[in-house]
Amino acid sequence: MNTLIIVSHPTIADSPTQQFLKASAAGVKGATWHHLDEINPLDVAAEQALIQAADRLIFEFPLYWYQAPASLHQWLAAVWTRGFAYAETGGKLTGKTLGLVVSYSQPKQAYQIGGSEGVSMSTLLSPYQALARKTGLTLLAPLEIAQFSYLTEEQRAHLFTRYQQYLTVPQPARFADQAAWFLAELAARGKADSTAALMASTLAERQDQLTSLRQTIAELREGEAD
Amino acid sequence: MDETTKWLLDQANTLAEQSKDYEDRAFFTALQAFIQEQATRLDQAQGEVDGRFWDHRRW
Repeated sequence: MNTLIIVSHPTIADSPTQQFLKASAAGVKGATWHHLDEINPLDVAAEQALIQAADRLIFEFPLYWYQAPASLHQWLAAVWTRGFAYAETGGKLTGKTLGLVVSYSQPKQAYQIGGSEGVSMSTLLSPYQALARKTGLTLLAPLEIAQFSYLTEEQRAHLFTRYQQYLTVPQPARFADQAAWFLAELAARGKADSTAALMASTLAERQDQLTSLRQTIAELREGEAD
Repeated sequence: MDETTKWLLDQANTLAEQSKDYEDRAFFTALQAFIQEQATRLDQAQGEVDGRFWDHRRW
């Protein structure tokens, strides 16, 4: 899968979150890091070619006053033109997926109705939902990064792999897709490490067993409904 | 916890500790959570199958 990570951040060198994500993306085959604030001058045709070559687009940004920084809006206005992003006969983005990686300095529970910010993240991100609908993109549930600087080492390790999955896995929130990702990564490491290889085959057997149990449950439920 | 889960967790923990680069260490750390989650789901699914087979209303 080719993934274009469209990063909007005016001071990226000072952002530990973005530097961490960039290091994580570096380990993902087919992922391209595209920092909007560094583009000068903007070549619209080249930007559109990059977008067209991707299967998945990621909008990645910190939340500034409840929205993305200006560079994402400027880039969208210039690059996502009529005839390219949308048209009466369908635009050129149809069938791709769109992911959102959003970081902020408040705790996650701040962004919900009744929370300290008084508004949900789904509400704030709804313009991207509208954009995805109009352009025929399939929207993924966002990957939210709350208070990166407070994360423990273990939480950072989880974020590192969750982000890698988010860039490539068909449905990152689905356990079976996460399992497939872990098994593939483990099998790749197993080429040089016999323990990893044995672990990969054991986990694959367990995943098959889980699939088979789920199938049995589905059949039993169907039987009960009859 | 069953023996296989324990073995998988021990191996993942050892590989995380032995990893020289951050990407591998992060991977084997996250893998431990995956192993736990998979084991939990297996337990739950097995429990549901057993429960449905032994449903008193279906005797």
